Formats: sequence, structure tokens, C-alpha cells
Amino acid sequence: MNNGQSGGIFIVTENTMDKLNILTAAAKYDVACTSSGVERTGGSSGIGSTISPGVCHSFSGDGRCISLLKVLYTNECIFDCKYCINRRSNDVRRTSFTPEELAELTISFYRRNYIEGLFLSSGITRSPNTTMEQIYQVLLLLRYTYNFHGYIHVKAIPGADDELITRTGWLADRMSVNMELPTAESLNKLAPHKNRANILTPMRRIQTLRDSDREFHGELLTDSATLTTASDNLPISHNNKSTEAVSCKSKFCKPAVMKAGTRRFVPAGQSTQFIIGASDDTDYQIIKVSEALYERFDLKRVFYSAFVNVNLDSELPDTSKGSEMLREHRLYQADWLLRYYQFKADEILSPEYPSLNTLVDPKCSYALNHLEMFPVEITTASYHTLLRVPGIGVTSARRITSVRKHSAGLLTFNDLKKIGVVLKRAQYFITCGGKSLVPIRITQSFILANMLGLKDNLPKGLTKEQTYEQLSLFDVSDIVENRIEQISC
Amino acid sequence: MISNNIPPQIFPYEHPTDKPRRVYLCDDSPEGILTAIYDAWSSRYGHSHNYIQINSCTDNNMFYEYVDTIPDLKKAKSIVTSIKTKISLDFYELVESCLLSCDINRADDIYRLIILGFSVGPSARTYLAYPAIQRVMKIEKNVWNEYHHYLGFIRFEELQDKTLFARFRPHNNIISKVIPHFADRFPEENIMIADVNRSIVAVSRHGLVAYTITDINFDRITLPTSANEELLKKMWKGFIESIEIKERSNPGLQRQNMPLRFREFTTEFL
Repeated sequence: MNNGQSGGIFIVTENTMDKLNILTAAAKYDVACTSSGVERTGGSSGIGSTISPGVCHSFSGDGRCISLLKVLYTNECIFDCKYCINRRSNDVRRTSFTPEELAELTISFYRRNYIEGLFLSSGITRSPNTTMEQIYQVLLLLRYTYNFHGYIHVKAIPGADDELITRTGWLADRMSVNMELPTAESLNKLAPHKNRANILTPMRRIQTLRDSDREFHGELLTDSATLTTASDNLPISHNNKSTEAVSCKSKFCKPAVMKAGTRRFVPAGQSTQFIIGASDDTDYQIIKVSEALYERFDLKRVFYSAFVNVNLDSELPDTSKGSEMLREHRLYQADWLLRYYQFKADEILSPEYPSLNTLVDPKCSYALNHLEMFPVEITTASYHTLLRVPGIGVTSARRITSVRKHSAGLLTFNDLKKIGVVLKRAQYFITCGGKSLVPIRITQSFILANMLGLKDNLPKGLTKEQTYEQLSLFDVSDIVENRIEQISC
Repeated sequence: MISNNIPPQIFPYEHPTDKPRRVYLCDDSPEGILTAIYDAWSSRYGHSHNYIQINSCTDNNMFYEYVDTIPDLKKAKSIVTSIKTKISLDFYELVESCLLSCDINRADDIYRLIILGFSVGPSARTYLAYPAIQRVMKIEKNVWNEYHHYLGFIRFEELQDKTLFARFRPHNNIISKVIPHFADRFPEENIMIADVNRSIVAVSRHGLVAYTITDINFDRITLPTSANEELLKKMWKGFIESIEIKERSNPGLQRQNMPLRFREFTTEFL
């Protein structure tokens, strides 16, 4: 077997380095760079393995994780999407790898433990099919010639033949099709060559094939069966017998260990990405679409990327004063609520309040608007209820349910802190053994004022003046008025 | 309020009792700690009067009895076997992680964990209301985190004979956790990883692992690398440079995610 240098000729040269720099810079705005979701042991021959939590190999200057060799196959593109740096109308240096070169480079980096695998995307050369074909060539080389068992994430090119996407899917670990914009109108406006149907077709195709592959391996279980197998991985609610607290979507369970060389169809699932702030779409619209993608397309992740106006296009918002990083952050928080905290998009936002609160995170904001649910008694509340408390995450809720099985009477606030509950947020919403930590008036203004009084609680990107300014405009008063109205009705 | 199913006397008494506390002093090594646990256990002096302390800890008390222990592989192995057979393999992994930790106060916590393990089984790790168990879980997390960080942050250089060579400087003694990962990942390669601080070298040849303790100073050593090494290093640095979104530059976040201590031997930060 070769050790990376096929046939004794090393085809990675200074020229490749030039290409690498151009095609990396062209791929950097795609935010996804995870290597999680598949557990695969290394074989007796070949190279590579994957572990289910994924591995970060480095961090770039903007603080993002570098896990995969994230490059474009080529930055030549026949499309003219307004937000994209590689659009047809831009005058940039165009180049493209050869499959051999890229495979060689991936293996060379992988052997030195620089990367966890390859993330291959591409501009559209000539036609979607040609592009998909080239990507497939690279994967074929890696998987069969180099016997590579590491992580591979590829883009499914919208508009490519089903057949090509299927073949690629059998070699990749994760596939993704970027939605880019949540509504059909904004897609039409900003990416005239793309359309909704072209994006959703491959997504559905991958989902169907993946489901049948999992069914073949006995993984796609009926709801009742899921409950029993899932109990090892997800905590069971303590008192509350409601099924929604127990139900485990199989995608959150730890993947089965694969052996090197076994072919599974996209075992790490699909992901997608939205650009945040390039169009007028609201947070509500975005998380509604995300929720639909999680539920109906069985996506693993939706990524959000704050828009950077790289083309200085006058039709798009100006981002020279800084992009909407805080909005991106809040969307990720809301996304976590959807995936791990059993929230529904309509509980987080509504058409009347379509934007996420910038001052506090979505979970705090939810709690402040649902004070009737609180305080929650730690020693008796169900797992589902615990998850709704700001400052209690999945891990600490699980720990609470397992600790109180044998030592409920022993739990004190001090223990809660050591278990991992963030008391500075949770204290307003919990009692422990019937006592609350501090005397609390359960009103929105009291809690909010106290929460924001903590210095470290100010979100990054908000200066003090901004906070105070927004505080006076803050919608608490609106909500309070609303509630008063509701009561008087 | 202590719940019924745990014998409360397994944890050390804080207050003076009829007997003086007996402190077993041990080496800062897995065998050392396990031997002390074995000796303390078989002394029948009472768990709550025993205390295990690593001998480099110097907080001595004139009212305590101090007993020196000599590391004994046989005793250590017998504890390991009983844990594996009578509790569970997963539980042994937890004990092993704690043994490999660099925490100087871990010895007594491991002792309490094992007592509780034999008393209530593998679920001992969920008894978080007890301070010793809280500390043990913290230690395990610390060891696991460092292990997981190094899975990504270790960088290999290809030497002239195609051996992959890496150096690292972990706080915890995690080389025996790290090398199996790479041995599994590169079954056809020869790998050598050196723990610079402890001068332990782990090698893997075609998936088989061996360890040795040397007196080579790996800080100073430079080994001749293969012909393409410089080009690939340059390419990797170029990649790291090009992938950054300059508009979003955030060195603080970068440092938070990848603290400086991990960067000592990473190609891109040299």
C-alpha cells in the first residue's frame, strides 16, 4: 500500500500551494466545519478513522474551528449569486484542482494530523453534472485508491443528476445543500440562478436513501422501539410521564460504531446553511424554516452565517461597520433550543414578535414571558420542565435527574452549582427543597434588571450605552401591556 | 439527611474521634496510589480513619499517624482486577482516568470512589452530592478534555525514514490514551510520540504499541525530516492564513479555543 506518495511521484508542488490558497479563500464563507456524527474504527490497512464527537485540529484567527480541509474544487462558476465572492461577474483569479492533486494533498495533511478529513465544495463549472462528477472523482480516489477512512463532507450540487448524488453519497460521511436564504422571494432576488425546488430535491433524495440504508441496518425504528433503545442515551423524565419528554429522535443518539471499509449512505447526515442579514427575512421566518428542515428533512445541523458584503454590492446591506454577529449568535441559541431542548419555533418567536431579543438569550426571553411556569422545584420537576429553566442545560438536567434518584434530600444550591447549573440565571426560576436562593419578586422587570446588572451577562458587541438605550426601548413594557390587555379581555 | 443505601462511614471523619487518622503516603504514580489503597483497605483500621496522600503533598498534621507505602505491582493489579470483574470495565476507565491525572490531591478521592463503587456498583459516579465524587468527576473531565484536545492539536512530522514523529507537553499523563487513537488511525505507519515533560516515548508500528522511558531531552532534539516536509508545512500555514475571515478577526476567541500551551509544537503557530 502506498503511504501517501503514489507511484513515487509527489504531485503536490508549489503550484498546488498557489491553488490551495485561492481555493481556501474562496471556501471560507461556508461556516460548517464539523467532523462529528460518525464513529468508524481504522482498519487493518489504509488510513484514517473518525470519532463521533469530531475533533478540532486548529483554530483560525477569527476563532472558528478548523477540522476539515475546507476547499473548493474550483472557483469557476456559471452562477451569479449577488452575495457570493465567486460569482460569474466578479473579476477574481480562477483556478481548479485536479482530483489526483487534491487527494494527495488531503492524505499528506491527514498523515500529519493537520486535519480530520476533507470538506469539498465547488463552484459550478459548465453544468451541475460536470461539477458533481469531478467531486465524485476525488472521493473515488480517496476511498478506493488511498483506502481512506477519514471524514468526508461534500456539497450536493443543486441540479445534478440523482444518480451522481447517490453515488457520491455512498462515499461521503456528510452531505449538504445550502439553502442560503429562507424564503423563495429573497432567493429569487439574490440568487437568480438557484431555485427552491433544485435545492430541496437533492435534500429529499439524500434523506430517502439514507433512511432506507438505516432501515436495512435495523436502525430506523418505530417510535415505541426508539424509546427503549434511546433510554441509554437520553434521560428519562422523572415524574412526568408525557411521551414528549422521553421521545428521542434517533438522530440525537450516539451513532453505531462502523468498521473501516463498510459503505453506509451519508452516515453523518445532512446539513445546510443560511446567510443572515443579506435579505429582509426575519428571525421567525428563519427558525420556522429550520424547524421544518429538522422535522421533515431529518437534517443534523442548520448553520447560520452572518453576512459579509464581500462584493460591496450596492443592492445588499453594508457590513463595513461589522456584520450581524450577535444576531447569528442568538439564532444558534434558538437552534439549540429546537434541537436539544424540545422547544417549538412558535414558542420561541411569533409573527407579532419576529426578532430574537438581543439583550438576553432566547431561553431567558421565553422564561420571562412565561413566568406562570416558575418557580420550578428542582427535586421534583420533570426533565422536560428542568430543560425550560434558564441556566440549566441538557447536561445539568441529566445530572439532576440521576442524582436525585438516590440523594434528593441532600441537594443544596451549592451542589447545584457544582453540578453545573448556572445559578446567576437559574436562581430566579428555581426552588430547591422548597427554598429559593434569594428573596425574589417574580416580575419581569425585577428579573431582567437583575440579570442585566451582572457585568459579564452583557452580550458581546453591545456596549453599555447601547444596552441602556435599548433597555428604555425594550419590549418588556409592550409585553406587560399585552398581558394586562389579555387579562382585562 | 444521608440516604439509607450508602454506609456513611466510607467518607473520612472531619472531627477528632477515638482513633487518630492514619495517613498512607504514596508515590505519585498509578501503582503507588493503588498500593496505598490496597494497604489502607487491608489494614482493617476503618475507611473513615484512613486517608491517602501523595508524598509530595506536604500538609502534615502532628495528630495524624503517617505510614509509608512501597509501590507494589502485584497489589495494584489485584485492585484493578477486582474493579474490572466486580464493578465494571467502564468504571475502571473512570478510575484509570483519575490515576493518570496530574491533580496532586486525587489519591484519597480515588480511594473513596472505589469504596463507593464496591458498595453501590457502577452508579457510584452519579453520587454527585458527595464532595469526593464531585472532585473525581471534575478530574475525569479535565483528563478527558486534555486528551480530546490533543487528538487534534498533536502535529506529526515525517522523518527521513517516513516515521511520523510528534512531541507534546500534556499536564496529565495521557500518552497511553492518545497513542491507541493514532495506532488505530494509521495502521500502516510507524508512529512515535514523545511526552516532553515526562520523557516517555510511545511508539506504534503497524498498529502495535509500546512505551519506553528515556533520558533524551526532546525539547532540544531536531530530527532530519523528509524532503516534502517544508513544503507541506508552508502549505498548512498558508491554509490557516487563507481560511480566516479577516472582517471577523477575533484573536481572543482563538486563544480561548486553543490556549497558548497547546501551540508549543503546532506547525501553524511556530
